[in-house]
Amino acid sequence: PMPQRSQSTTALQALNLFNSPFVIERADVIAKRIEGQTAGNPADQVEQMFELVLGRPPEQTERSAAMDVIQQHGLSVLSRVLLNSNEFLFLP
Amino acid sequence: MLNRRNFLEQTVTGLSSIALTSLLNQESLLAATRPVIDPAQPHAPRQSPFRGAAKNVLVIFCAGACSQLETYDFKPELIKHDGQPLKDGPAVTFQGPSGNLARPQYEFRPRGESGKMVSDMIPHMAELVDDISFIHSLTSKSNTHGPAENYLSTGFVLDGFPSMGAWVTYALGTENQNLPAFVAIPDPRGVPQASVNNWGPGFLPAVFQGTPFSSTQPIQNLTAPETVSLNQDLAARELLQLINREHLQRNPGDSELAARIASYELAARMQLSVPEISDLSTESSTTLKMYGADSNNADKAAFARNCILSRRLIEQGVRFVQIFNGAYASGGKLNWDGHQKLKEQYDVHGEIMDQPVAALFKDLKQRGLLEETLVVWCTEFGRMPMFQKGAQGRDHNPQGFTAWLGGAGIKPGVSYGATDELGFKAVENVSSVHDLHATMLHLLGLDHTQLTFRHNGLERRLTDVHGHVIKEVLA
Repeated sequence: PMPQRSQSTTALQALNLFNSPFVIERADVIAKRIEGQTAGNPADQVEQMFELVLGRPPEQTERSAAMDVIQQHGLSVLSRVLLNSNEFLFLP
Repeated sequence: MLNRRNFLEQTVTGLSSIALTSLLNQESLLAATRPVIDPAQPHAPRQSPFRGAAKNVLVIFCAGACSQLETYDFKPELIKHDGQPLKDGPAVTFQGPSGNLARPQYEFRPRGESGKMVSDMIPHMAELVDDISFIHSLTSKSNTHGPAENYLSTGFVLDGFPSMGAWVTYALGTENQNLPAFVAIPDPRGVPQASVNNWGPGFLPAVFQGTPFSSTQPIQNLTAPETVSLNQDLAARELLQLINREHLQRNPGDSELAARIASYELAARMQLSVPEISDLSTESSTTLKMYGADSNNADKAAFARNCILSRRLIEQGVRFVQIFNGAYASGGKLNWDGHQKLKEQYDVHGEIMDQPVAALFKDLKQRGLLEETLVVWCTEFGRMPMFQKGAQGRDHNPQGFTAWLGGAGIKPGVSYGATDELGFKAVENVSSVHDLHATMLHLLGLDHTQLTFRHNGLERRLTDVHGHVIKEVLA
């Protein structure tokens, strides 16, 4: 009935993974790599980013939300998000 | 038919089934008092098994072993025997050969209405005597700073056990869901010797670990680097939420995923709440002055700001705050470890601690917060009545030292237990740190024998298999 040690996560871990310069830098590197492979087509970028980080294509809702985000805020926002996603960090 | 063999067989089975039932009952009793934690809301407030006097705890932890003989344990006999050897005393103590007995390095005088004798090192804290109770007979299991800090903060001298604050937040959660449940505030001069062990979760779920920050040290990675704009940050947060929620829908009922989403949500709320609570610009100049935050002494001003931060956290319903006065082992330079030049060093440390701690206590009182807050002042062990050979300071002494408690549920003006006439050893109502822990949990409505967590086949407790509530200090 209670979480075991291994299941527990803390706000400090979340802050580290979301904000630390290391993770931000890695997200930039991934974004640059995808940009280098895709000649500026946002749909391709979203597709390849999901394939690279999560090993699957995006779902429809994910695709459209991600397209909006990268067009407004740049591709490294998407790589930062995927590195922080539960799917990337856990095997349920 | 009942013959002798059958009789014996039946009786034995009968007895063992009684024993088994009794064991099972105990198991279910234990399970019933173990906190039930919703992984998606691990910090939700939980009711204590019985009504406690206190809701919150503030621990003021003096790292380095603050001498009982220079603070609260007045020993007129030690003045008389100044310069003489301690009869039948140890030839060698922790750090080396013993020198002669040395009188208290400060004058003592009666304080408040109770006339409790307190030293001139802490004139402001001396004004609190009528509101607090002393335990003069504490003993430690270790004479070494790191293990003794472990013992005081976790109940065990070894590394790896949950801290008091972790146990308390595991049991009770916290009232304020926007701030950490347990905050540790290291001294501006540095972290204590046992460092993160003092606020670690040990084998409890990591979510119950203390969050360290102070007026001088903000939470690490609380905000993204400046290269990330606010809009990028918000967009990332929103998209992450969407992706995690969709993922959770595809994996329903996985508490681990829900817990992690909860930790991100708390992190996001902390990005707003922590800068706000750390911003002392809303404090009046009277308050800043009262704590000594306007001091020219940078260490004192910074420690005073930590004390103000402590009050703000308690005020906002943070369950457990542990503030440190004194840093790591540094030959007594940065903490209370006065081996060589005790008086010279304590003049420095006393000045930093005295006014801010006294103001913190008085401020909690004037705001009515003491009614539901337990305040504990403590240190990992005491110091010897002798000076060390060839030195002007005292060596480690785990055999008798002082702590005080005040606020919720405490009967004020009690002096419980005593050391011998020279302050060498506890001789009356000898107490352990387990007793202190048992008393603290009791005040929160928790039975220290029932608050358990199963780890490696054992029902672990803060108090191990020890501890008695010190009823004499209870209101």
